[in-house]
Amino acid sequence: MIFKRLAQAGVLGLNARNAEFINRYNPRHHFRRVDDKLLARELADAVGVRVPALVGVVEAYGELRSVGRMLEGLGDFVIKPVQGAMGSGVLVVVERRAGAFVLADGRTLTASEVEYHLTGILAGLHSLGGRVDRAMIEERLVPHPELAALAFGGVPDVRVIVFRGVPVLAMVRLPTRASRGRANLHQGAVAAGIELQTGRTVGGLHRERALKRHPETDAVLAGHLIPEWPRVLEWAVRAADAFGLGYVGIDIVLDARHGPVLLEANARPGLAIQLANARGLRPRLEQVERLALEGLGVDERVAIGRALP
Amino acid sequence: MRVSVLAASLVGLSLLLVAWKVLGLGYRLVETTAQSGRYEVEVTLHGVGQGETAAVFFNRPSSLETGFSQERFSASGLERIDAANDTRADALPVRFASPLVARHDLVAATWHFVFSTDLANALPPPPAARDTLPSRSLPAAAPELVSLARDLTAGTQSLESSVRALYEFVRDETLTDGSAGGDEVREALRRRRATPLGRVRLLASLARASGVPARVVYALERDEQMERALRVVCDVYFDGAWHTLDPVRGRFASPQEDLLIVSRGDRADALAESEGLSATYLSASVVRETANARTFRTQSQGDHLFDRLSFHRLPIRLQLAMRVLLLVPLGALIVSVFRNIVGAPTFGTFTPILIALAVRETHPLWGLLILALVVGAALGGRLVLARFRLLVVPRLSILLTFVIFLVGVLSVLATEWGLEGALGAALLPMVVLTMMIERVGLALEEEGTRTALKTTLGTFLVAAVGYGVLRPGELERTLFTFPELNLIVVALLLLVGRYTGFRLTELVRFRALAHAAGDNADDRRAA
Repeated sequence: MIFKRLAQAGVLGLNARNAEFINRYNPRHHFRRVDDKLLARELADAVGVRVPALVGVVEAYGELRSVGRMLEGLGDFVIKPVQGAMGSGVLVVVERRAGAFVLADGRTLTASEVEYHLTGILAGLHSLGGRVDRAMIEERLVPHPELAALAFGGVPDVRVIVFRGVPVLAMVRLPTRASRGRANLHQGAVAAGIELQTGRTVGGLHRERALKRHPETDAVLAGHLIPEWPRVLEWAVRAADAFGLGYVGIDIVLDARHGPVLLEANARPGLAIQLANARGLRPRLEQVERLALEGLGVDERVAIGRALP
Repeated sequence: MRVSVLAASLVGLSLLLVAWKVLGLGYRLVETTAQSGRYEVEVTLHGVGQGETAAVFFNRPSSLETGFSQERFSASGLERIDAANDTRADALPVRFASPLVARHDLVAATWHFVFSTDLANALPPPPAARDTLPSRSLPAAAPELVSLARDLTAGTQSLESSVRALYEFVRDETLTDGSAGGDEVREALRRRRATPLGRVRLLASLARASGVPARVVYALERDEQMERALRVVCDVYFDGAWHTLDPVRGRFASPQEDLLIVSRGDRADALAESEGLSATYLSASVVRETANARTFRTQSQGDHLFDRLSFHRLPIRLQLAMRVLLLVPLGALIVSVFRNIVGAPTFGTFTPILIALAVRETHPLWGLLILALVVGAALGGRLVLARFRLLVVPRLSILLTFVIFLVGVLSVLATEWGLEGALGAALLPMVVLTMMIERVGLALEEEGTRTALKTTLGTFLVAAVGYGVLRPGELERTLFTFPELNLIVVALLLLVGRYTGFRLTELVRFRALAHAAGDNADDRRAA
């Protein structure tokens, strides 16, 4: 019974996502283009999509000593595993005080603790598949003032699902105190769907339950306009083309100084986006599947996406 | 080829093979051990060469204990040198020998037979004259034995207390030691060290020296086992009955229901003897004979193809291992169903099955309790280790060592407190366990307590269901005789692999959208 209702609502389940979309539209050898964040940056940059400034890469244990030099003069930065997943292993440093590093969630780490974290990243503790990894250090992005009221201690993150080069669904993830400044829904971040046509937020989702107001700031979640929305969509499609993946989730953050910036991409995007938008993915996916898209440019496909019912 | 067609043909093939075996060859689909007075036994004598001629003798019991049938002999490193065809119960010993066994070479000789407790005499034969006389292996007339026996029994009032005095001497004043020459009674007395056989022979000799009938008895534990040493005990006759004394384990005349008496007081008071070898020991594998095993044995003279391929041919030790292995595909199917159809999260793909297999060897509740204890304690250990800020691989290795120690301590405590069920802790898959503990720890740190708890519960749930299927019982025996039933498991796996519908957990996760759909449908109908 409920099976039927879910099917009617066009909900896409994990099994169907894997069998009908990921296995069919994502060539296996292209996965590394998004799993390896350094490669993803290069590919995106090459097609004119802005990415955060790279401070440096740590590849070997021997290089750890030179990290201090790398970070000289930097008041804030972000350390990430190059092959990390789901935000694992990410350290966001917001301030430096006399040899101590203050993180976005309020904790303070000493230099040697940061170095220890790096060794964990290098050893593959946070990487997909547990393989040895590299660590990358990027500039820290600052939330755009128009969305700052909604986000606590972190940058709001727009996720666009692009299928066959057409945007089909989007949501924005807002960090909270509970999620320690991370835009990770499992950790307690808040999400809101985004109407592709208007770029306005709709609904609201927290811990897989619908809600209308932000649990900590009490701001209404719906009705906010995502700044530079057309560019966000354009860059999402451009990046998806560069990655060569037919079913991909592109994460773009809105930075106060630079506007939209591509953070990363995901070859196995999750399904919570359906809850954020209170609509299933299937109807749009099936529509786009039927379209003839060869030869259409980025702008045309963005327009198709925005016009989807 | 369409998956459903392939799946159907696998099922068809499987059922065809099963039908053939059942109808054509007479195997039973549902195994029974109802006639389980019968056991398949393999007794193996192991030894190490000393650079000289070596020989092994199997002394088959006298006609009084004709529980033996279907004998087969094999050896590695030695050749059979007696008349191979004589299988009468009271035939001469079976001999294996080799003109030269190099130093440090391992040799083994195996005697495979079916032992029937129905046929064997239920009551031990009454004491005969020879049970009080010295024999080749029981030098009851040796002066030092006679005087020792007299000293020990001086002042005792009853026959029982005399016997007890002799028993306590052997139990407390001698130690078990497996080195060469340890079977000899006089050596045992002189050095106060001997093999279990030597110690039991010492007790029997002392008893005979005091005029009390005594015999050396070989026994096996009744439950199925692999490669556990044969037990050797001493039967002593007093107060009108035979009593079993075990000076090695310290049991005086307690009922021995769990023992299968294989032979009593043979010619040389030894089931198997050797010459020219050191560090010898006897081990035995026992398995209850099932109806199908019996069928197989009567068939195998016919040399049918299926019988040649049957697992019943394997040595017992491998049979027992195979029985468990044949269940694993079913376990994997359970994991697949739980992950893809139910949607339960687990740590590791097959970790739940490994846990179920380990718990199988112990009592299930104990097994899970120990598991929970080990995981909990190791998580604590992990927190402590975190302070040292070690590199990942050495840190995990220390965690692994800690887990092994923990399990070792638990096993020792279990033995100390007599908790049989907890002894299986040593069989937990330590490495897999350590990796799982690491993942739980990481999940706790990265994803929060709730998610970590959910995944842990999911893992244990699947392990529990897996245990329900994998535990010893009818299913295991049926799969052993009909391994082709696993083709059905493969067919089911093919179907699960193609399932693209919702997972049960998704029905809960997306229920808000289902309500919306229902509302929309209602609105449309109303309009």
